[in-house]
Amino acid sequence: MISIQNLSFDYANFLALQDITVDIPQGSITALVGPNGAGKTTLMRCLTALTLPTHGKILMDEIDIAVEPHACHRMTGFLADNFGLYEQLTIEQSISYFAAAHGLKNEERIEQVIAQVHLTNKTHELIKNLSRGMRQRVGIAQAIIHQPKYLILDEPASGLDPEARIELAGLFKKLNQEGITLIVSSHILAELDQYANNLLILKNGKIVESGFDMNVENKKSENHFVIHAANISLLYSFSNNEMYEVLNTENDKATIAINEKYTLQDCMQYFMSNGLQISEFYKETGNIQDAYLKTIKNA
Amino acid sequence: MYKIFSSNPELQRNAWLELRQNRMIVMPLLIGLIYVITIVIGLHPYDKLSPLRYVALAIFHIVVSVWGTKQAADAVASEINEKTWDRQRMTGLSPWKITIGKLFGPTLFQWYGAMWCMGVYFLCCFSSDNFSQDVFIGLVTILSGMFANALGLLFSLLSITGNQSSSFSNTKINTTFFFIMALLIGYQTSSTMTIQGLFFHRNISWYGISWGNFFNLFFVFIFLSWAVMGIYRNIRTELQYKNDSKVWICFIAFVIVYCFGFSIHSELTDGMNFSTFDVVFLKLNFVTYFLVSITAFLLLVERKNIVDYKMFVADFNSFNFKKLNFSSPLWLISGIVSGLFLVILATLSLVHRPDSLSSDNFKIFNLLSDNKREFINQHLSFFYFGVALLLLRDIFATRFLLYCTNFKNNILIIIIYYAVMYAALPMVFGANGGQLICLFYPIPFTGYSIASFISLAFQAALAFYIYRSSYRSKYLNIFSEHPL
Repeated sequence: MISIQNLSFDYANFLALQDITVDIPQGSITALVGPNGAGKTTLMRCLTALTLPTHGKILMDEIDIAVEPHACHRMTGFLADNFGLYEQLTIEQSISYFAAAHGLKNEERIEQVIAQVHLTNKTHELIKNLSRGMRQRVGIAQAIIHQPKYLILDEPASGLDPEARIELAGLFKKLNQEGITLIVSSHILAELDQYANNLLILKNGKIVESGFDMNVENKKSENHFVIHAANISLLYSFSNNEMYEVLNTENDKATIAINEKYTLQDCMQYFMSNGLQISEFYKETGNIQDAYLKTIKNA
Repeated sequence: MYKIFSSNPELQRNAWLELRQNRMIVMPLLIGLIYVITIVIGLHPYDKLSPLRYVALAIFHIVVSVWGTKQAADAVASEINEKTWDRQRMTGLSPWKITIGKLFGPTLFQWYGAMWCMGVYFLCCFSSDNFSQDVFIGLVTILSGMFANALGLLFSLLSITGNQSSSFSNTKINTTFFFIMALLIGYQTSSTMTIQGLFFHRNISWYGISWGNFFNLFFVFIFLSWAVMGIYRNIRTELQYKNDSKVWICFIAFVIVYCFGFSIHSELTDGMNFSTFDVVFLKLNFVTYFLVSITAFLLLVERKNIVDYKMFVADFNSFNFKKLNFSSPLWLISGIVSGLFLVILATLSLVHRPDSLSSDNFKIFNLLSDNKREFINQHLSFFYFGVALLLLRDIFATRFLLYCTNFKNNILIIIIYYAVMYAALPMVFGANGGQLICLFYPIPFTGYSIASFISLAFQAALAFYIYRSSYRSKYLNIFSEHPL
């Protein structure tokens, strides 16, 4: 687990991070989101011990990373937004370099990682000749070569085409299943929805939302449904108030919570028999985008 | 060779980049061509090998000392610009491996070229009348090349170390500057000794012992070791290890011991005998000159990031010596030692007038003071206090430029400051024997030392006031919100 305790970071004349205290659970995929200048990159650099905080501490598996930065580097993989690649090297040379730099002499591990990021047929290509998607995969391979417990990724999906993003989401899920805890910052909230199960929202260097567990949220909203109907206002005039509760309405859309005694089928039958012109209905899920917008608005 | 590379991944990476097949072929071909031309031209009709030896040395200097130093100065800067430095800092590479990798990695190709130069050089030595001396010259040259490379890397590291985002702005200007400085200092230190000791066959007297060729070789090696130690310490800082002041204090002690050991050359003293006091007094001057120069140079190149600097200021204000041991910049330590030596010199010149240091029996003073002999020994203590004030003025002025202004290239602005203070002003106020120059610099052996002292005290106070008020207005809010 990563435990951040009263963390502050002071740039020349402003505080980039202010007294942050939060725990990042082991095995989670944490989405780190916030407006530009919120302090996301600074927090990531502190988490990787590339910069040390001005105040407070970060414990990574109980190890204070300011005291033992090298221990932190052994446990952590980091992919910066620019990927940090040696342009003149081939993929194989680049991965071999990072393997050797981490003290690994296992050729098998190099091959395994190259296969994991689907670059087996490209090993002898120079990095400068690769597409952005491939460069990003080389970056991830470099970051995970030493089998870190924590993988920290700064805007990994920016500039990628939709296909590469879907592939990336799959890769993150797979790495998470292998036991790596991921912390991902991104502006593309819809994409984070695909894999993140924990949310951390930063604004002006402060945490405005944390521990938003997507699984819990999904469970909480198990009986929540969204209904689209032209005459949605009718929902308020129906007499059977026991069956459902209207949580909110917006234009032709309403979110309802169905009472545990009833099923969705009962409810739909009731609505349609009472003249509600339903065009669409679906289950509401915990949504990072909604949570983010709600939180930022209230912050 | 393969084992060396495989034991240091940074060397291996550089070998992949630098030692490409086509380059490996072109380098010896070009060097060989120059050798052939040298032999064909035949500068010496009977001795074909002597010119070849000198040509080999010249090529070595161009390839290793000039080109290699540029490569070394760019080593970390280019990684920062290509955004690969953070990645490397997160690897498990130890500070020593990175130090060796960065010093010899980017210069591998140049050292490959050096092999073709020095190989031929040493072969030619066999035909030399003075074999051992020529071998010494070769060895000193190799170490001097390494020393210049190490200084280039060290200076650029001093400038980036601890920078929060590891940003390196205006790289081209900065690395070119470090490259030139490394060349100048590297060669000033090592070549002077080589030329003196080896070419002019002068034995260097150090602590009364007459040292032969070994002195050159030994001390170039010692200087190289200090430079490598400096690189290692800076790399440690980059990897977030904490460094205390111990090593820097040891280096300062070494400089003092080293400078104090030289004897006054008999050619300058005209065979006069001096009292022990006078000799000590002169040697202390020599030591202080070096200490003040080191401090002034560090004020230019050493750049702590603002967070670290603020921590240092907080530790300094609270007299927290335990923390200061880790947070104090290098210039502070050498500045304090310089100040101490200046106070000692000022006190010595007050309590015991060095009568023997008159222009009649000491040639150096003849050179310095020319026709102003009557002023010798006068105002000498004011001169030393003046130098201390000058140093204080520069400390506050450069700290103001570095931390309280918004210039993008802080190094360039401090270079301009030094150029104005130490080149432009003397030209304007010192032209045609103008005496106003004394208001900006303490000049010994003149009657204006007191005027200099008062003027410099005012300048130092003004610089302190400007620095302090700007620093407070820029960082006070953050202090009150979040005291460090």
